[in-house]
Amino acid sequence: MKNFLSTFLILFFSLAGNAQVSITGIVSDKNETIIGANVFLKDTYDGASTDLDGKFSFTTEEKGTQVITITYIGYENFEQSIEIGSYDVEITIQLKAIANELNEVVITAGAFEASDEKKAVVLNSIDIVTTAGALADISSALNTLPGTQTVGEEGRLFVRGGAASETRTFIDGMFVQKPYSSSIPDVPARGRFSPFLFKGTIFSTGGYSAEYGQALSSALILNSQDLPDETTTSVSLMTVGANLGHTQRWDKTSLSVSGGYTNLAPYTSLVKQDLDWIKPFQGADGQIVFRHKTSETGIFKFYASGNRSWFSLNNRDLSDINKMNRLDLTNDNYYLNTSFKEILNEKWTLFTGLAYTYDRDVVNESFKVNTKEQSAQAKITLSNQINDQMSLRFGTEYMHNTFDEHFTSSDGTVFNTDLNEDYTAGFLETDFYFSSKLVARVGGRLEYSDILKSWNIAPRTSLAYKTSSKSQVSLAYGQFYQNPENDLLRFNTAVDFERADHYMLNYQLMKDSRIFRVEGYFKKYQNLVKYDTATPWMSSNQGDGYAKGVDVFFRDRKSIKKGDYWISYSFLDTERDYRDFPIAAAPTFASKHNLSLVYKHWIHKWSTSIGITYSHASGRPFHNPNLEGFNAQRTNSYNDLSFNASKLTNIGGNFTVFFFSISNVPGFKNNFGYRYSTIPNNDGVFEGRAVQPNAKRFFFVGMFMQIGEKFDKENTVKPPE
Amino acid sequence: MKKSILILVLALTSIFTFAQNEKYVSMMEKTVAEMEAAKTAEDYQKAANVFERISNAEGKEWLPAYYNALCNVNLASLAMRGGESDKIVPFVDKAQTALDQCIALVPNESEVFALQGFIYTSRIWADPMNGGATFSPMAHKAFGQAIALDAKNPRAYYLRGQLVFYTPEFWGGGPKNAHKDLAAAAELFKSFEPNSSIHPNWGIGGNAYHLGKAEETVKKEKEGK
Repeated sequence: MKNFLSTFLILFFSLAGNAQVSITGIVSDKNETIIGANVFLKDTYDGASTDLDGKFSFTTEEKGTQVITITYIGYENFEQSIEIGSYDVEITIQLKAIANELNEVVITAGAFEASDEKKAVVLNSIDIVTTAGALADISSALNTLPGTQTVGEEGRLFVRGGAASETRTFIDGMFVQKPYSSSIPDVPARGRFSPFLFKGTIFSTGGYSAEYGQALSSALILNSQDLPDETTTSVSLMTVGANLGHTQRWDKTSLSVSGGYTNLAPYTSLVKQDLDWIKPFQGADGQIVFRHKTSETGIFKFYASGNRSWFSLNNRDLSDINKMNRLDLTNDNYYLNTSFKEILNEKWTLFTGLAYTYDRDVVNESFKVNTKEQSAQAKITLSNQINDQMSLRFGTEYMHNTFDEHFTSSDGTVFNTDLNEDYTAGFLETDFYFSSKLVARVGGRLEYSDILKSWNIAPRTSLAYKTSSKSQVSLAYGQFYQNPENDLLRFNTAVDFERADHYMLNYQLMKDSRIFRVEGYFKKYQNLVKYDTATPWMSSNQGDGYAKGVDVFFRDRKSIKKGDYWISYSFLDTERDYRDFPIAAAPTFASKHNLSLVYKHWIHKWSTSIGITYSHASGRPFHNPNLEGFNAQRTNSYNDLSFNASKLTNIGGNFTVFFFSISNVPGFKNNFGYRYSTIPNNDGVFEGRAVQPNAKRFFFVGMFMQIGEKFDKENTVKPPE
Repeated sequence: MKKSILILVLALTSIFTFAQNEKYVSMMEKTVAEMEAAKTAEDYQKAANVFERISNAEGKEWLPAYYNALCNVNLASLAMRGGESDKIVPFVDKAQTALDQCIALVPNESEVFALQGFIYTSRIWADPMNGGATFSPMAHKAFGQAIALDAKNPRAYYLRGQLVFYTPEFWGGGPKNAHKDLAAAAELFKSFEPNSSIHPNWGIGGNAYHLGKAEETVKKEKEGK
């Protein structure tokens, strides 16, 4: 027994004794040594930090199989079993960088993203509200990005030589049939949706995902807010109207109700207008937003809005520009969007959505038009994370559209149109991550249109490669199909989809708080609807065209303290032979050069943010019937310098913002084009008139107050010195 | 004989355990001192690494993870002051991971919530223009929880005061509005006794600095009137 005891003691002391072994080595990334990595034996105190050369050295009394562990910020934890005997250990280890948003490759061709959640984006949501000249209108703010054309009399997005109808808006993945307020030619429309509804915006100027169809040029993808932070009441008063809203927040549910009234009469009576208003624009709207978290990961969203707007003015006759006719327009619009999203398990995510639109325009002039459009859509999408290298998304959607129009011409002729469309589509898309540097997205979309009695299959693919930790190159190709617009189908439905093919090459460099992007593209249009004005019912898909150009974007949030600016430049070369064009020509909305300079500055002392936007567009084509050629003339270039200021303050403990905005400060004389009488006068001359902004400048003054909002909310905290 | 072996083994085990505990405390004391003396990012990183190792070996102790989190917030602060704003988020994420361990171990510890508030504050540094809207209310909530758990925790008041100090005045921030919390913290620091040599006992200097500045502002304002 004594023997046993001594063995035990010897064993004990040898374990606890000073038989130290030293462990040394180097920790590196692929190219560089890593300084400050934590190297240690798991579950022991033994370890060290790597020095300036990435070297480490420590001693241990542990023996046998041990796990050497290395941790370092931005890298995956490293673990490896080692045998420790009586000899020193030397080991060289390479750590693997964690694939995350900032260093992982992402497909950027065509897409501009504004988000508050992701870091690797071009804009934040707040940028949309604070861009001078945009007046918190989503489309106007996006018009300061490259790839867009300034078309001042329209107020819609024109992308890369495409018409406004070629850009489609989606809210939570669902089509928005009427994203803009109803208007008439030469009176700019405004977006129906407040930018505050959305947490993220993806503005794609081409090559977008197979999930989105029925858009030849561009997709504007808006993702709505989840649950609001807290219960609040807000009031805003503006020179053009007022808004009132209340949000109630419960644990897992929220309900917001808001309403507004707009009336441009007081404003138009103060500021001289180019248009001869009888009853300036008025509108009343209401919204209900409901959110419910169905589980930790599931959310149900409901949005409903109703809106009525109306105006009357003396409108220029289309056949004789010297003649004025009274025009009355009344629009009713209802929109419903519900969606449900749930992460089913580690692999599967489900999305379902339902949307409904009702829109009615009543126009009374010498002619009368009564247009009723309805649309109902259902959609289901599933995504599956197959493994780290591969993910799959697929879905299907169905939409029913009706277009019902009664047209009575001034001579009493009645023309009724009744169009019904049943649209079915499916898409499938796979992302392959070959490494954290190379990703490919391959997919396609299948569509069937009942009204066209036609189907199409549209392949889409993109590739992105990270050329360094800060830069990457993306490529994209895709086919895009869209139904001809209702104003073409009303004459003839025996036509096919219009088609555009996109080819894009993009380079992006993101460093510190600076972003540089350049993108070249080529877009080929085919199967565009073409007709002769005299026989529009004999239309065919014989039109075609192209658009090519370069878009450049630079944003710098670093060089100027408390200042932030971006520069966008677009070069566009486009021609098309479509609709009633006699020959291939640049359309009237396409200007060759577009430039935007946006500057924002925060003045801490006055708690005021100011913004300046300068926009320039080279001359736009127009057609002068008195001269040779088609669309051969060019307007003067367009220039605008807008200014805005917002002062943040408190009134009676309520968070309040005062804002002021003015467009065209220097008073540039802009015209958007010319309109000519379709019938020549007695001297055989087609008389023309410039299409001008409604007023030289637009002023806007308002205040926004959030009642019950605490002081410490939404603040700008300066870091400790 | 069998009994004596048992006693011997028990004795040895207890000595061993005791030695282990002493090793823990002495290692912690040494590293806390190193952290307090730290000036550069390397110093903080070294201390953070030691805390991480101890935390890894002593899975049931919350203090090593707490200090690991604190070191990483300090690293985030150094990155922000050094103009390396893209490094802030990784450090803050690391701090949050370490603090999550603490919350799991001691869900009712005031110090942990005070540090949670500080971590939320540090997220604002990464994006001062927009981060405040999200993280300031979260930080205030965490400081509130810390105070609810222990109304005499000076760090809860100090860190809240510091957040208010750097918040713009029109949102109820600024040195003047921070004065109340900072003064309360100073008073509590005077009588504060840590539970042990390795329990949190930091912040008195930083609080005094901010309180001094706040008092200066208040004084200037009075003279101005």
